Amino acid sequence: MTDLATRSDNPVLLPVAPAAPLPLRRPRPARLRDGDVAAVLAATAFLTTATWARHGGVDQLLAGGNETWTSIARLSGLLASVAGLLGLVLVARARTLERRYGLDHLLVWHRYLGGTMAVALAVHVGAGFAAWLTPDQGVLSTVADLTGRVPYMAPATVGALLVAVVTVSSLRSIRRRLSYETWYFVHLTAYLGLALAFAHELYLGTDLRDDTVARALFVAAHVVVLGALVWGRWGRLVAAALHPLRVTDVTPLVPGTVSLTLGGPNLARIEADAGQFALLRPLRRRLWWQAHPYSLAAAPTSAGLRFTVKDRGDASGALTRLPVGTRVVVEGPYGTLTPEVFDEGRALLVAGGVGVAPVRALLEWLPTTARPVVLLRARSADELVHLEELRVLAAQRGGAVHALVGRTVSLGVDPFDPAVLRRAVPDLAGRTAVVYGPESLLHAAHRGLRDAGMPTEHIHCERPWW
Amino acid sequence: MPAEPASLARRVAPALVLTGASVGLLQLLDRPVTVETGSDELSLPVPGAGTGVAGTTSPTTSATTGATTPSTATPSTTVPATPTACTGTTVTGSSVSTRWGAVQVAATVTDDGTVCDLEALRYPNGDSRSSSISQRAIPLLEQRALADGLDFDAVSGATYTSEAYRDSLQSILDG
Repeated sequence: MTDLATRSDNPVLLPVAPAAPLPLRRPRPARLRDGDVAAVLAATAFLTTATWARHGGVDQLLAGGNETWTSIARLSGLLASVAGLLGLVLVARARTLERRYGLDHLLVWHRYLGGTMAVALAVHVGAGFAAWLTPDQGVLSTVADLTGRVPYMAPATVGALLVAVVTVSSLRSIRRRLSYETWYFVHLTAYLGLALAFAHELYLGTDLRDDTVARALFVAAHVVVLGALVWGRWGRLVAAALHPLRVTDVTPLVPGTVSLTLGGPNLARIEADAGQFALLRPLRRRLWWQAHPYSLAAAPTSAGLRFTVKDRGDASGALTRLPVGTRVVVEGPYGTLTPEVFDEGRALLVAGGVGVAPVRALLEWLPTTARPVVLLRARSADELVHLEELRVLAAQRGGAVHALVGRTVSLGVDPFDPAVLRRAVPDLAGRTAVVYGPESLLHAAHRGLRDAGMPTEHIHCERPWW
Repeated sequence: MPAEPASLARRVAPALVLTGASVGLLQLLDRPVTVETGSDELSLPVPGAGTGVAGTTSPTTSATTGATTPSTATPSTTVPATPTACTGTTVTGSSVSTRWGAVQVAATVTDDGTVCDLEALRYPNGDSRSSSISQRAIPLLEQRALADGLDFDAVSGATYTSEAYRDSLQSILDG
């Protein structure tokens, strides 16, 4: 347990508070409420099911035989396209959604909706096949009908295959083997898939072909979502690219890890808060086409946006070697785990590995009332690049830093065991926790804190941004 | 030696290959099989008749059949033998599209203005399911329309074809 000892009385090793830079403007809080989202979801589900029911879906479902399959195919088809649309809304970077839920949570829901769409699509294809199949018609002939002979079905078939490829490429086991960019570009072909399927939805589906109102709503929903996507993904990117920041400082922290500071005149356009992350896109050969998320490693001020970049043997390596003056397009910052989360109360900050950077930024802007306790988990001391700074920042606010270094198996202690947590942070139940770290750490920490008596609404978890 | 970041070309290649394969597959699957694209003359695939092999479903346009009356070898399987007594002007109705293909009816109208024969010039047959439905429905529709006029009962399982058939016939009677 010696590693968990409090050492807030360590000497100050690094100057932490810079001269007098002014904080950047903070993003407006979200006005969206959970109820609004629930209402939209309920209305969507109701309209979808009602469209199906209004056109005899229930009677058809109970009619038996091919009619039943047709009914199932209709409903699953509608659900698949609605799930697809909602999934696209989540990745349109709608500001109000992002401010309320955070990009990483939206991506998690996008993943769920994508999975839902894939399942609904599989049901749709299967039921459609069963509905079309008749005793006097062979299986091959049915397949030939539904993959090409019936109008609009050839593009729909190709569209479904594309969605299947995208789904498979997103399965965790496959996704791990692909580079992020390869996976991303394959993922983009989902748009082509949805577009190819669109005509058969309009002209073959009983629900949309014969109902002007349903059809108009369906088309309008697609137009709105497409507009939101074009603006949120391309419009904002173009706007950011027209006003790039510049690299103002690159300071090595430990071998292979640098502190990267971005600034310049366009900094004034940025609204940012501690605890957020931004997508960085250096305008350099071989780097301009890819953006990578990095957490702010310091509270955002007129001195610049500071990031901690570790060379992980991919594009991040090039990022550690950017010359001063390089233009960098900054999207965001995004993220909802800002100092407001603590609501002036006492804070518990848990970080694993690369999660140290946002914790450092948050600490800077925490008031002394927060009396922050920081729990750090790292496999090796190299990962704790900001340890001394964290100790100073925590000490200034009447808090402490506990670091546990080493692999869990060799340590022989579960750092997130409720008893261990309670011993390290006796007033745990009265605090609000923010957890940054890899998924396994998020789960372990969430479970441990909950079992140690912290109310779950006071536990906030976020995936780390390196 | 620090590794160079991967090039855009390398990362985007799988997606481009996938897109190309999709376009290719689309070309392969999207065969022009609906009769709607045929000429106004006659584009009935003739099941079992000489020109087309049943199953290939390529539209057989009888370019050699000239003149105004579209009367190629009427497949006996589809249309009952024309009564010899029925003579008159052949009037072609408008082509009515349905989701499974177009329906177009031609009527033989006698001098006193009664319809004594009907013939479907087009009917859904782009896919095998539609073909088999039309094989069953078209003769029934002809019988029912000749017996009951426009008020004939729709053939069950062929609702779209029945409605389109009625509309096409209506266009003839509206003349």
